[in-house]
Amino acid sequence: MTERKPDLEEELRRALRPQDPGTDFTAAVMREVTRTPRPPSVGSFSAASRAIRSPSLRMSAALAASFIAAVGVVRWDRYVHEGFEAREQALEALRVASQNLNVVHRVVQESEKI
Amino acid sequence: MYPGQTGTMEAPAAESAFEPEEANLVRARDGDTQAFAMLVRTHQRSVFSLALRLLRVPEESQELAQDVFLQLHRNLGRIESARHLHFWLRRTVSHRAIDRLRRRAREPFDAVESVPEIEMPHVDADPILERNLYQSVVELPPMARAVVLLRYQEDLDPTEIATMLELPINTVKSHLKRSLALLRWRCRALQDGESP
Repeated sequence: MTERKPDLEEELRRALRPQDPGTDFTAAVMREVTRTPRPPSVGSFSAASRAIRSPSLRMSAALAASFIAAVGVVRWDRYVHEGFEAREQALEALRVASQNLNVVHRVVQESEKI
Repeated sequence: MYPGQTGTMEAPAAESAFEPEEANLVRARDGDTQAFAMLVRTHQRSVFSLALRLLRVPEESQELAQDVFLQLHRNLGRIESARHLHFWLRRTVSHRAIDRLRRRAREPFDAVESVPEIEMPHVDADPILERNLYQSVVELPPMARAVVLLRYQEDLDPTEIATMLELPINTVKSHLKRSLALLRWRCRALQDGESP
């Protein structure tokens, strides 16, 4: 007859099953917890950092950033375009002014000849 | 970094085991003390047993375990998930117990009688073998003891233990292999010594 050899690892698991610390343990922890409340700043800061790590929030932030960038590009383009128009108008105004000055200059010269 | 943080190491079934705890964690983070008490109740056996088997002094182990839960309460905002909580508690109690052991100039060698008794509710179990094994485990050197406890008390795999104790995986495997050989040898010697 062969004796069954005990599996050491199974025996270890059995011998090392967790022990209860006693009925008063949770109550003792909770007494200390209520005596020293948690600083709120730690939680709120960490909640913010945790929120930043959230994939859905990251996606939303990326979309928002893309939208802001797109609006920025359109506005910049419009600004540049408006700048060109203004420059054209200024040049046109200068051209008109220059023509008027030429006319006046010519009139003055002709009147001096007379 | 803790195992499973990126969601690549855990199977869905293992992850679902943490689901009931997630709600308590969220409520505890929002200041619900009842929810925090539930978290303490869920983990107190593991945390206390790790402390007890590493420090081998019941009063000091109680005090350390309570302190670990108070530390958890102060740092609840940093706990990302129930899985993280599981990892954080075991890592914190292991590191703090090992630190205390290091601070002791020389760890006193306890006599068999001074090592806390273990509960023996299993009918099939061999009580003498269990007691011998328990005794042999708590007499292992501190780091080897921590590795064996995390492996066989907490059922963690060597990769998780390596991350938790900040050890190379080969060191963890080596501790396990040597400790098992030693435990096997000691148990055999004790059983032979007890037989008429």
